[in-house]
Formats: sequence, structure tokens, C-alpha cells
Amino acid sequence: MKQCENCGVILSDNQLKCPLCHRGLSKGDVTAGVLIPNPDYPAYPQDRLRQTRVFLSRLFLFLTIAAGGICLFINWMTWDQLSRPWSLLVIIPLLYLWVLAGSLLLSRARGGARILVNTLGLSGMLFLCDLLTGFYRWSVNLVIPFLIMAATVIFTIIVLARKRLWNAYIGYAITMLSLDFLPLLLYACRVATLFWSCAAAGLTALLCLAAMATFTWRKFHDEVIRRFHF
Amino acid sequence: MELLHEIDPDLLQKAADIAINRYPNLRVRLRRGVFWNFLEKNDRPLRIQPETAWPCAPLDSRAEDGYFLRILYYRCTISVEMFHALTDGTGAMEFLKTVVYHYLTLVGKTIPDQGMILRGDDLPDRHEQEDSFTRYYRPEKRPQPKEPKAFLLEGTHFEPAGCNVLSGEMQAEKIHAAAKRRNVTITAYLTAALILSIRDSCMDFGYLAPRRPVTVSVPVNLRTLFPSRTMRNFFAVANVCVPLKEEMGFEEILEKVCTELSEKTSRSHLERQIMQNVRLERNLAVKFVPLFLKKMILREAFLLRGENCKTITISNLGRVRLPEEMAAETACASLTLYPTEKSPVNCGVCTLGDSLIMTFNRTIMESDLIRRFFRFVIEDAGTQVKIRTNNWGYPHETM
Repeated sequence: MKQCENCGVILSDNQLKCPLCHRGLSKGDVTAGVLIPNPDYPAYPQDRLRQTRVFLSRLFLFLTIAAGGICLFINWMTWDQLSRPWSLLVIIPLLYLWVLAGSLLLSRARGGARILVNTLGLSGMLFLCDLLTGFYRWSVNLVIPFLIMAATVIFTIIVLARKRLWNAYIGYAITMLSLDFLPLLLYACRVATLFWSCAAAGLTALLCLAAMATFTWRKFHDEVIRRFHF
Repeated sequence: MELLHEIDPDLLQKAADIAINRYPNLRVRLRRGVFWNFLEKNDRPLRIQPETAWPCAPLDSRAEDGYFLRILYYRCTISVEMFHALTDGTGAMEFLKTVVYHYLTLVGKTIPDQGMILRGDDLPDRHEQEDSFTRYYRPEKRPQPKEPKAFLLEGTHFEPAGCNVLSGEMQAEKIHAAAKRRNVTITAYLTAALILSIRDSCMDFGYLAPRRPVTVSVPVNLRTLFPSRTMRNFFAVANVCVPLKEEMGFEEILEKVCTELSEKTSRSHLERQIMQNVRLERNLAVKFVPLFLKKMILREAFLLRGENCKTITISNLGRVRLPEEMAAETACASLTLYPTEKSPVNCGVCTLGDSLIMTFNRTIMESDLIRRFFRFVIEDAGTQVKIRTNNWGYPHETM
């Protein structure tokens, strides 16, 4: 054991400096050249994987900012010729790429969260693209309702097929079922104009709900009670 | 808890498998509801792990098979780390005692539990799983006085971010004698010494004492005043608030600490805290607020009413009671608290036999207040202080 003359505390032999005043310590009774590991705590390995991930995400962030900035600049410089904010058509998909990369590659969230985030992100991106290219309503009339329907069917299949993960997915499935009524809401607000596709999304929600209730009524009932308890 | 021999991971795994059966409140996973989070039984086994990260490193339940606790081992030490929503310090220590007890019996030691250990091979008692806050709740309205903003510790954060754990092992008898000489408890004595060290470290280079009061947050085990055997959370917090002046001595600070502690650990004050906690949970308006809004509001409330109103936390787990045969196999026990953004230094105290260990866990480089604290107890109580540290931030200071 060693003692710090400045602080008066006793230190283990592996300490070279006092951790309180950071002054050097005498060698004590340590055999010269023999390395003694810390008896109380492990040596912490450097997390190189994390460092690489941080560097790569910073690099891609810079590239996104650079690409967006250059497009905005060119758009502004050539505004007299085109008079359209076309640069946003580059920036918005770039932002969605971040959502995609974040949810699929970097996030350790469950599959349910990934599907939900990507459905919402993709829907938002396509709606904005539609809005910027004259708003012909192809996004709200067809793409978004079918995208939501596809995601709902996937959730229902997962919930019914993977019984062990049932309660991990049911929360997302309930959220997705609620989202199925979004196209009908858009139709009611006159944002969407094609009734059959919006109604089909609502019908999909009801059918999937019926499927879940029919095949797994007990679990479905208990889970809904637990999720909505107050 | 440090044992006398190196840990055998296979036996520790077996001990963990037996011990977890006694604690249904720990064998859970957290699920998200629309209005509240809720806990449900986790059927996956609880895997023990070698210690590789700093104590109180972030706990990702997905990496822990859904568990919000982990059992770690390193050389002779067995540690338990857990999310505070599951249990408090008392519950965590009981669980650790159960794990160590079964480990030692599996190693081949004969240890009678002497009623001090909750054995994993016994069925859990329903009283151990009760919500004691609800049991002692009385629907009366007693206003809680508003806490003043406290002086906050500041410093340079470690790069890379992490926690520096530094514990000082003292002679419990000498600390006890120093406290008894002044007719105060060990908690009051250590709290006053901590406040003095904070004041002195601020007054370095001729600066004045902190303008705002130094508030030390002291968790109080409610089981001592409100009989309960629960292994779930059952604690309150006494915020010991001391406005400081440059000329104040230790005795004056100690007197103020004792006055604050006796007032804030009184039955009526603690009852008020129980009422406030339960009333908030039962409030109809609160019940129907969606979870994400609750989280946002609680985060802000935690910063405004919790974090801004305390300088540091000192949690004294007290003396750990072990059967004689088990104590003979155990070198020491310690408690490490997690530091927070606004409270970058926190400390835990735990006593086993004649070893009283005060563990400082910090995210900032500055160690002046810790140095002053240990200097004070060495001079005042005449105890030896044996330092152990993980040297986070100073890897070159160890071999």
C-alpha cells in the first residue's frame, strides 16, 4: 500500500498518482517492472466501433448539409429561369434517407417501430414531393392509403404468426390500425379526392382488427386493457 | 459486495437463477401503455455478465433481455445495478444479499440464514410485493413547502464521457465515535462534512461562499417509520438545505444539518411526501394525460423541482446485516449512486463490519471537494481512508 503525503489517504499499489490531488506517489513496495492490474475495477476497453459510428454519422451529416446547401444555392441563383423550389425535391428525400438510416441501420428498436417510422416518413416525404410538383394528389389518393394498408397487413401477419412476440407488436399494430383512418380523414378534409382508396384503408383496418380479435381474442383483449389502463 | 475469493461465473449464474425467483418485482420488463408505462413478467433468464463498463453505465433493457437490472462480477466483487423504478436501495441490497448467500452456499459454505436473508428457494411473500405508499396514504390535503433553488456543482466533463468512481474505506467505529462525540447520527456528521467541503472548495482562491444554499438530498428509508416488508420502492427524500457564510465552522453547519434532518425526517413531513406522491398518481386529470405528455411534463418538473433544488445526494444505506458465517466470507460492501446532469457528483455510504465505504461517483474532472472531505474526516475522526478508484478520465495514473 502507498500513502499520499498531501492528502493523507492510503492507495493501492497500482496507483502512480493520487486520484485526489494528482501528485506523483513513491513506488512503495511494488516490485519494479511488475504490472499490477486494478484489483477493484476492470480496465475499460475503448469502444472503437462506437467511435467509427460517430465519425461516419458526422461525415454523412456534413455531406447532407453540403448537398442541401449547394442545391439551395443553385436554386436561388437560377430562380429567374425555373421559378420553382426544386432544391426541396433533393433536400426532402435526403432527410428521409436519415430517417431510413436511423431506423434501419443505427437504431436497435424493434421491427414494429421501424415499420411504423418508415411508413410515416415515406408518407410524409411523398406528400411533400406531391405538393412541390403541382399537387396532383397522387400521394394522398393512392400511395399513402396503399402504403398504410400494406404496413397494417404486415403487422397483422406478424402479430398472428409470431406468437412469442405478440405483445411486443400489438402496440404498434393498434397505432397502425388507427393510422388506417387517416386517408378517410384526409378525404373528409378534402385533401384527398378518391373515396374508394381511402375507404379501402379503413376497411383494411376493420378486417385486420377482426382477424386479431378472432384468432387471439383473449390476448388482444388483455393487451388492449393493459395498454389503455389509467 | 466484495468476497474473499475470486468469483466463479457458473456458480454465480446458478445463484442468480435461484435468487430472482424470490423477487417478482425485479423479474419484469417495462412496457409502454397509452397513459402509463407498466411492468409485466419477464420469462427470460437473467444472465450474469463480467463487469466491462463503469459503474452505473446506461442500462439498455433490450441488451439485457428486457431486464432493468444486471448482475456483474469482477475478480472478487459481485455487483447489482438496477433501474430505480424497480426498487430502492434497501430492496437492491436485499437482492444482492440473496444472490451472495446462494453463491456462497453453492461454493460449499454452510450458512444458516438467521432470518437475515430472503432466500430464493422460499416462496415470495405477498407483503414483499405490496405498494406501501398506497397502504399509508391518507386522503388529506397538506401543502408541501416550496424548496428554494440550490447551489449547483459545476465542472469540466470527462471526455470521453463516463463516470469516475472513487470510494474511501473508513473505520466505521471511528466515524461512529466522532458522530457520537457530538451526539449526532453518522448521516448528519457525513452530510455536514460534505457541506463544509463544498463550501471550502468554492472558497478556493479567495472566492466567497456560494450565494445559493447548499442542499444535500438525503434519501430516507420509510420502512423504519412506517412498518413495511415491501421490496418495492418505499423511500422519501429529505432535502437538507443550509445557507452558508464564509465564517461558518463545522459545528455551526452540523447544528443546522441536525435541525433540518430532524424536521424533514419527522413522521408528519414524510406522511406529507407520501400523500403528495399518491395524490398525484390518483389525480384524474393526470390519469388521462397521454404518456408522452406526462414524460415531457415530468422531465421539466424533475429539472425545476428536483434537480435545481439539490446540490448533491448522499444516500446512506446503513449497516448491512449478514449472518455471521456470511460476514466472515465478505470483505466489504459499497453503494454507488448515478450522477445526473445537474448533480454531477453524488455519493453513497454503506457499512459492513468495521468498514464504512463512502463512494463518490462523478462525471466531472474536479475532485477538490472529495479531497477536502476525506482530509476533514482523517483529521477530525482520526480514521484511515483507503482509496479505490476506477480512474476514469485518468487512465495514465494507474499501472
